[in-house]
Amino acid sequence: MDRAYKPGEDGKTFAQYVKVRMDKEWFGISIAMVENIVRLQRITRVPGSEFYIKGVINLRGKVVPVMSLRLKMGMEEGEEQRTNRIIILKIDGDEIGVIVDEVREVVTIPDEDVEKVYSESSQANAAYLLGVGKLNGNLISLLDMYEVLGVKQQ
Amino acid sequence: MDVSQYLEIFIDEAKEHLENLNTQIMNLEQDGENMDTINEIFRAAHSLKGMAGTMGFKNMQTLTHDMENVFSEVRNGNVKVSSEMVDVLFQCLDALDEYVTNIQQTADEGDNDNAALIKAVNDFLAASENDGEKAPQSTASSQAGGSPTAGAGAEEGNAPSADGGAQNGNPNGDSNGKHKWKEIKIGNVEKGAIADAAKEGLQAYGISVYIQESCLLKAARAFLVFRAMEEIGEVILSVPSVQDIEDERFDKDFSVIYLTEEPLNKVLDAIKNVSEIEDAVGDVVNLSEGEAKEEGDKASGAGTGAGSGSGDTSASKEKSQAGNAKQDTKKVMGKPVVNRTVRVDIEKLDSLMNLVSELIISKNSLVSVASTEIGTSSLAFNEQIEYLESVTTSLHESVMKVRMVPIESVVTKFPRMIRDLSKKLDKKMELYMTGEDTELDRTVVDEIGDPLMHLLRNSADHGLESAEVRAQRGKPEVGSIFLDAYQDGNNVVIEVKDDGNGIDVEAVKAKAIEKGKITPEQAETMTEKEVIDLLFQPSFSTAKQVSDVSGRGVGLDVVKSKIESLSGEVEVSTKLGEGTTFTIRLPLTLAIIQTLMVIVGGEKYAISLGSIQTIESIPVDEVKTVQGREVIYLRGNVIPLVRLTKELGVESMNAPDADLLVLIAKKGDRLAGIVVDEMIGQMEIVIKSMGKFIGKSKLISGATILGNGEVALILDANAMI
Amino acid sequence: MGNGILIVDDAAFMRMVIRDILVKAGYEVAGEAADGKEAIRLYRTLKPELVLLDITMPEMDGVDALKKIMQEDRDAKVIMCSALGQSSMVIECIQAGAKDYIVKPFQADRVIESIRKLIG
Repeated sequence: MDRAYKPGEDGKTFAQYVKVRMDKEWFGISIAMVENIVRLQRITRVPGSEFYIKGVINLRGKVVPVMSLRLKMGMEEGEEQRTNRIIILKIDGDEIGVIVDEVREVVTIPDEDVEKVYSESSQANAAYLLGVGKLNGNLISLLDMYEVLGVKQQ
Repeated sequence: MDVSQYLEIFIDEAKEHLENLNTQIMNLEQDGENMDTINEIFRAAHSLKGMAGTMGFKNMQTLTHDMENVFSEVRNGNVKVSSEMVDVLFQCLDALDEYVTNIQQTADEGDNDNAALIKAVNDFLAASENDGEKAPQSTASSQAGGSPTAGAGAEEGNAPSADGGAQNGNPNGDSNGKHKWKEIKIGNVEKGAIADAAKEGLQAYGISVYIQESCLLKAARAFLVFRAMEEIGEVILSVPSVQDIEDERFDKDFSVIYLTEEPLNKVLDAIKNVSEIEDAVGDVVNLSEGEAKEEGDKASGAGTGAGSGSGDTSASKEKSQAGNAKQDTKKVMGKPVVNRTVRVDIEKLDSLMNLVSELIISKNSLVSVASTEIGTSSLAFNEQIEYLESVTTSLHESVMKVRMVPIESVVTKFPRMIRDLSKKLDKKMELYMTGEDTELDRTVVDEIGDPLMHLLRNSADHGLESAEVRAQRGKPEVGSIFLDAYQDGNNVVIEVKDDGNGIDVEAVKAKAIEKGKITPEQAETMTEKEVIDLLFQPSFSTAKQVSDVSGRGVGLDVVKSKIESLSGEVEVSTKLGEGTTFTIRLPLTLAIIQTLMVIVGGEKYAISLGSIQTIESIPVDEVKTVQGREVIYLRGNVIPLVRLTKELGVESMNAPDADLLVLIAKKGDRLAGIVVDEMIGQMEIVIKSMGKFIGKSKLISGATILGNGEVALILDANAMI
Repeated sequence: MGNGILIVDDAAFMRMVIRDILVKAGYEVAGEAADGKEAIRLYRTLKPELVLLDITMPEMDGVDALKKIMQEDRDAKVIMCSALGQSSMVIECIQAGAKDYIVKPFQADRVIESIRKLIG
């Protein structure tokens, strides 16, 4: 997939994000790296892996690891819900699924409406954020999935 | 021409040629007079030149062209192979390699024209010319691949007068327009021939032929014209001479005096029908007109006419020429080693492999359906299932075989590397390789190069002692490094061995203490093996001084993790003062293995069958505790128990007093008893990678997808021993 | 005859280039050979209308292959594929009966001109 940035009609640059919920908070994940979104399915536990790795799933014949985004972000493990989804991300050719509580929609946010968050910020997981976007008067935290997954950006 | 579509095959083939060149130049250094080697190098350079030219890679074309020239001279015995030449040739290879790498990355060869290198190459040619063996014109004949140098002396005899003849033709050319043949001085011999021919009804014509400016190999073009003419007549005189034309000592036109019974326009048409001929003009030769000029021209006529006089003499000359060339071309027939192959994109093979995997999965699910749903298990159904099993098994085997390639492609570069290292480190050493034809899966072969290279460097740099030390120890001055590959059951073993110093365990300990990896107390109690294992820890180098050969931060730890990522393992054996052997053991095929499916704490796992010796049922009270470890006694062996429930962090589903189900696994001469809850049975599974987001676990070597779509993890029994 | 053209070159790359040139110009390719021996074998079985024969090849080079082909079929139409610097070999081939030659790097129109003159 090409990068999601395209010049807008008014010359503004913007990016598109998948809007996801964890607990009561809404987050955005750049659709540039989203391969697929699937329902929660049988996960095989992998002994000895990190606490936030839930295990591996069978994604159309491929074995793909799945992590709990809640645990990774330092939040509490949530109850399994009907709205749970696994977002399959592809990063540098490797796939990984992240479990979120709910996926709502794809939103478009002009880059100028994104405010940087500095790591001095009080938020514990500020390092995981690209910034905070304004969306119809609400705020949405845009996740830097490279940081979240601990992958060096190239 | 749009050549981008050929890039892939160009790169593939260019790399093959480079590898071949590498090997051959190594051979050349051993034996500078081996004709097969010289011819092979010539041929590879020649092919590369043609390919580069077609793709429009000018720099690469120029360099290969000059290399080819040198080899043409080597082949003809005019230039001797020296060690300086070998050095330069290796530099050429590196330069070519760089071009190819650039092309691979950017589809362009880059701007480096390697002028210095080209000069160095051409200096070998210049040197040979200065030896006085060749006339200044010799570049022309040196370009002529198989040009017979035997006749060089004769050529030089002709050259001055021939040039004179050509010059005579040109200045006056204008007055006669295109009919340059009118400038030809006809000698008495020719006059006699013309007069005789006239009696037989043959007409004498003067003809001038113009070759297109763009024409390459004009000499050959001229020869095609000669042949066309000689099919319907006879050339009795040619300016420039036949010899000069053959040596391409003419501009773009030549003139002849020609006898034929055919009308002129038919002759001209025959000439013009040859490709790349711009024009041909001619007219009847009027002898009386030329009479006045006749006198002073006898000498020059005889000079130019070495091949003239009659068609017969020139033909016989051509024959001897052909004879010479043939001798040379015989030598060109180099190595007859050409594999009959079809190139297949690795992606296509991967997708075929995936399909086979899918087929096996679906077969497995059919088998499980057949065994669970009693109603459907008719005899015929089972037969079909068995048939399907045998088909999938052989399909799998043949796909795996297709993916197998000899490690040769990787190891051929090593002799060169050791040669370079030998010079750089100023140590004498020799690399001996065996089993280059040992085959491994393509993906493994692609990955194995770097670790092997590192181990060889390690042997060359840290392993082999200096000449003085070797002398003191009574070892031969030249150190030996061995690279031996062979198949051993389901594994391929590659050994890198040297007859050097061996690993100094005490030095390693000291270093580890200094680096704070271990305490002096720990060092006391460590076994030799444990100490050697320290070498495989990240950033551990015992080299007293960091050299740019192997001490560049890439340590044995990288070798180890690379080999492990290929499901292989590395072992070291060493004897101080005698040498070290690194043994790499790799699975023959990666993708599909026979396993035993077991249940542990309610979870399904696959254990590779290869390491399982027997399956035992052991009463709980037979489990003893020795030094805090659970063991069982079995047929005279004390076997430590590995409780998978504990290793995997689950609770057993079995009653505490139930008999234990123990898989006896063997690695080398060590045994272990792996305790599982339940056994499902034997199953052929497709190994799937779990990706890099799951940290490497010692115990888990991969995952597989079962017939019901469930993912099961594969346990590495070796890691439990 | 209309049996197409036989391409002989040890480099798969070159065969591919030539094949494309021929196909684009509407000629049929009878087959491909990677060395002289194979060329002779294929000449016998395929009876091609024309052969594009590389000179420098392993096993048996183009010069010897040409001679063998000419020996078996005096009317064989063979165009030698040469490189710069092979003048004397090309001349030897012409004397042995090669109908024409082309020089690498190939220019499509030059290749086609040569073929057209021989087989139309």
